[in-house]
Amino acid sequence: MPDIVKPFKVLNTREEPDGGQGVDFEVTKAEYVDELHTKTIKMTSYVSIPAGENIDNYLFTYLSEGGWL
Amino acid sequence: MSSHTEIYFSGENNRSMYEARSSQAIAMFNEVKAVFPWAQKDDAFAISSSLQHEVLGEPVISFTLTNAVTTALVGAQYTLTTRKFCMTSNTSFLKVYPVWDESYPSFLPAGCTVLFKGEHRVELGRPAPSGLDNFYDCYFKGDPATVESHFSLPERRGEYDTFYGVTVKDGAVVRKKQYVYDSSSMFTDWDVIHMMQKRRA
Repeated sequence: MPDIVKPFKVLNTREEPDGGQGVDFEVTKAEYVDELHTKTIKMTSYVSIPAGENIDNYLFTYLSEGGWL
Repeated sequence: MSSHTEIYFSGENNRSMYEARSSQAIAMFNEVKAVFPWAQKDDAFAISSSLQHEVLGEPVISFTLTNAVTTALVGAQYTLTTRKFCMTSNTSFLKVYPVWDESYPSFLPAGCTVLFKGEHRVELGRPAPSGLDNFYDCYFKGDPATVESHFSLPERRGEYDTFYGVTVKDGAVVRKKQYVYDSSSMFTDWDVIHMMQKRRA
């Protein structure tokens, strides 16, 4: 199996009082400006992930639904 | 706008790479988008025509990703990434091109300059075709007459430059690609890019 590339970076995780996981993450998105330029938007944010959820899978779904992936 | 930036030949097949805003690229993007709703045109600066991939056995359309997207996905150590869309199996994968750092390959004729390796990566959440571990590409430059003779290739040489790639599966060359450039473009000068990357490493 080749290496797996994630479309986001998990910067930090911490356990939250309810047992879930708080995750700092970074995601980048490209937007066309003109023939010579592409704008890159980088978002750094925090999300609370319910206990028992897989961080990568949760973030992938979360960011896909948000239009980032 | 209509401009191709690269063409390569592999046996009877050939593939052109078009600037992402050209009419040809937009047509190819629409084909991909119909199968992969998540595909983003803004991720790419060039989009290819469809090519019947000899190893995967299905049509594949390639997006050459922008430098910013490449850096975000696989890191700044790679100057180029392509995202391959496999149009029959509805799968996709990434290909990166690290500088070749292995010994001189026995499958090449003597005197070539080995430049890059083509390696595969799978993207989280995106189904990938099976067998990606079984093959890789080797990209190189060499005397055209020597390379053509060694691999029994037809004489195809660009007015500006010519480069080569071979696909190696289970140790054997299973595909030979001739990259023919009649003028300078964003896809030419592999040897210069190779030298810059070697110096940076």
